[in-house]
Amino acid sequence: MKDRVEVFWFSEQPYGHVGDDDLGKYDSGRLGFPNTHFDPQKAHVLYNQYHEQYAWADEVGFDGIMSNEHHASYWCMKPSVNLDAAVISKLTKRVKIAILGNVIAINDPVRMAEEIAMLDCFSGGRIISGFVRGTAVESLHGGIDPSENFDRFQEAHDLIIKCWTTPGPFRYEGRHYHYRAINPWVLPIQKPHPDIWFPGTGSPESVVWAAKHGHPYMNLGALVDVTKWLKQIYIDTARETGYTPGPEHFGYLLRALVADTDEEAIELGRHFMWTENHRQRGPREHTDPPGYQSREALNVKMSRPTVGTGTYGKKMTYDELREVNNVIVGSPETVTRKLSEIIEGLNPGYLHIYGNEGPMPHEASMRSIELMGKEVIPALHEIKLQSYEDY
Amino acid sequence: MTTQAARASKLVPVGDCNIEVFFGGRGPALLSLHGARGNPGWMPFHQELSASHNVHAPSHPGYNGSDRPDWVTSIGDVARLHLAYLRQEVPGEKAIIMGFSMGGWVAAEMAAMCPQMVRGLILVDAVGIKAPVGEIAELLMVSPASTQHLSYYDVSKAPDLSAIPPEEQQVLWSNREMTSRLCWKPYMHNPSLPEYLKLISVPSAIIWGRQDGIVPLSCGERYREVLSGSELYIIEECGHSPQNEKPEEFLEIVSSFCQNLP
Repeated sequence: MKDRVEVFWFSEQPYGHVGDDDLGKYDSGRLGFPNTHFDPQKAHVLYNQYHEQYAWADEVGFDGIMSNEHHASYWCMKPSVNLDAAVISKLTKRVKIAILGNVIAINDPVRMAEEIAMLDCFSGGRIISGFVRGTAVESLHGGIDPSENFDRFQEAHDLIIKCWTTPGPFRYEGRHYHYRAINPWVLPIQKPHPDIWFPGTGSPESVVWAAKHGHPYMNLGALVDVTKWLKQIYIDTARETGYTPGPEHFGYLLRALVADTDEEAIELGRHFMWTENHRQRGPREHTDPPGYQSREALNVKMSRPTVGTGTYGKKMTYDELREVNNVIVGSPETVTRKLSEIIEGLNPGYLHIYGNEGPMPHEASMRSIELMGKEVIPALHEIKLQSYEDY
Repeated sequence: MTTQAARASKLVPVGDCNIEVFFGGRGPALLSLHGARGNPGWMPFHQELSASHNVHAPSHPGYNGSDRPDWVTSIGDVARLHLAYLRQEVPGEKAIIMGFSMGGWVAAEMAAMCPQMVRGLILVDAVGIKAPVGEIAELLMVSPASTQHLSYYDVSKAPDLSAIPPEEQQVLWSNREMTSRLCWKPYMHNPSLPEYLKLISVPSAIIWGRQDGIVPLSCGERYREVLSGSELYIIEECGHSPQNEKPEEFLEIVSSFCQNLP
């Protein structure tokens, strides 16, 4: 059993040059927010800062770097997570590289299998290959019928694994994908294939799917008590499926920043609230279009109990989020104490630090990474994770 | 001829799919195919037409009370099921097929597949052809309320969507799921359909609201071009649903077209 948490650096790589005033004029922060607000020269500067942060995280002691992908999003300048992972693989020497993940339902699965295999070879076997359904906007932007998303996701998932594990050439004729000669030359270093992770924010059906496949489930920033409820669903489903899960099956993401003093960190941490009202704003047809969720999933959601604080989906202020440890900012001592509480409460095998946001200064991110790596992470490594046998 | 109003719907098994049908009247068969929103049920124009026709208004597979088989993924699949329905329910008879909006696309595909089964074709503000001028409005990535002003010339005649009860809202949402499956890509049209239609000859009436903001009039003009012997009837001061916004003019055109069919 995994008994020590691994800490991952994560940056959404926001384009911090837009603000509420730019966004407020449009009916949506994503598909409706014109890309005329994007300046490639500014992006050039930002990308290089974010890359510098990756190299630094590797150097100062993070266990891994996690990355993701979104489309039509000013708050995430990564329309291709595999390109980002390629950069990470060349900038770093030791960290694990968690891709969380490829939006496989909108891409060609064989090409996905090839690219991830390349990355595993680039990095010497450091890749964790997350697969995601994406937000619905990813499907809409990719021109894919959202009502097909989950079906395509599942078929692509199976086919990618087949590409890695079935010697080629072989023929594949499925429902959404058809190839008569598959023979990818490049295969992953890790056998039978890199670990597959699956993320979720709050929906139980994601947890059930991950648990049934034995894939570690990464909860992306739900409140702690909602997360505990979802984790329990994972554990119960895993037992029904026939295995006992442990910390190696579960990860948690939260926003955190370290500065030299609490005061400084609290001030810098306000950037975590940057344009928060606009990020996923848009008509229901963008965020939850017809058919994106099954009728069963909708029923589950409607019957979902109000858990704990009952604030899932409700807007919370910066201070309220700090209060419930959903945003953790402070000196190394403060952050170590609060993250230790999280780790002791959730026993996650993986902790993802959503480390910067919006126009947060590069220097502040670099200092946060340094203090995290040199002071906080060594202390977190001392915590002995508990097994899930008694859950 | 005696008439018989539809009092309820019935479920008709067609292959592996139960099709919900509103029906009534006696006379020559007339199949009425609803649009993407779903089956509005037995409408006043159905009642009028049932005075002289055997009217069938089925719900498409996947809509309202009809089954949703996994294999039905295209408008062509829907058309094949309705053709099978006609062969089964009015065997040996040619039918008038009337389709509204997305139902018009289904009707045109049916005529292209089996012209010998079609006595007359009525297309009302039909999608199915890529607009030569303008474009078919986006309906799936926007809320229904936001397109009301495109659907009606006189928006005051549009139904109040907020008054729809929750159970019915769920049916409408479910219908939109099916529309997403059938019409996502290419959006609301089949690039080959105009070519199919050039190959057949069926008496056809193409009816369009002049101010249709959902499906441009240019689609109606294209239908007239490719359907030999067809006629385009344009209703003034009317949006996407002449049957609702200009019911009398609409019915007059349909009745006279049906009466004059060979």
